[in-house]
Amino acid sequence: MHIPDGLLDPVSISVLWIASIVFIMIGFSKIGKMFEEEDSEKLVPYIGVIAAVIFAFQFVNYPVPGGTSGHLVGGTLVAVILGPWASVIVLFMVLVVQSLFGDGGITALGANAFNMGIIGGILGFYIVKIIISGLNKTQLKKEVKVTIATAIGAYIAIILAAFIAALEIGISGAIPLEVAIAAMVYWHVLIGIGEAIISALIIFYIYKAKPALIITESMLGVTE
Amino acid sequence: MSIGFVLGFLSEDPDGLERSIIDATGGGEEGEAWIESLPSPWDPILGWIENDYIAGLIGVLLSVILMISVFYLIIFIHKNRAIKKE
Repeated sequence: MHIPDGLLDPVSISVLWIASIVFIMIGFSKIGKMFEEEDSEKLVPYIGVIAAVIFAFQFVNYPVPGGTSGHLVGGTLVAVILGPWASVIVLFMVLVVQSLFGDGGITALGANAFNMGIIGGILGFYIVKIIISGLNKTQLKKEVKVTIATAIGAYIAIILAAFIAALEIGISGAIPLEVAIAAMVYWHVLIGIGEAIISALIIFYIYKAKPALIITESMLGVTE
Repeated sequence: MSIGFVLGFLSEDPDGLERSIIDATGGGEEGEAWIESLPSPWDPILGWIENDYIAGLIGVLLSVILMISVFYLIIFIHKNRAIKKE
């Protein structure tokens, strides 16, 4: 979902850059407070590794029927592990590194950060939270609830992010709006399945290996 | 990544966004040429790396360094503010 340079008009680029910067600045403040509560000496390298994992997984394009491919975006995944505000910053940094390789534009960085970090991360996190509130009424184990909620949340978030990206591309006039929306949503309904499965597997594995790494349990409101 | 590349699990096909644009701008080679022709204000600094393994390794390293630097900066600024308040 990396929008390249030259696709968006200057107004869209500017608005999305401003929006992304605002969210990133809020994220910096929130993260600072999180470091007060958690052991920041251990947390910082952990966040660095998460960013590297997301970068690596975004490199792995799995085939999707119909002649396209998909890859993990990881916004919702990072948000569930580290919190919604950390996901904005992590995704932005990953996008910066990727732009060095020409994967996603530099002027389009604001748009990509908005779509993948804010829509995929923050919105995805709160979708997961809503689903968990429903699953709390069941007898499922905590890790199963979070895994299922992450899968569904990541799936919905990726489709929403694709829809928003289509709006941006269509409003910019690069391709007709109705064509952009139809195409982007269609492909990401398929691609999102991979996002859901990979995100769920990673979350479930972390729960089994070291549940303390999921630092958002209280934020998600998951109960035993 | 290594296993994926070796086994051919990874796909060379364009991703969802690229596919949408390619199909909307003529499809096939015409669409791909259209994407390639989009203007860019800069040449990617590491875009010359063609080997996916090397690109992946460098990217992972850069991600770790950048992310750790940013978050240590956040801690540094936060602690300084806390000290000034005292």
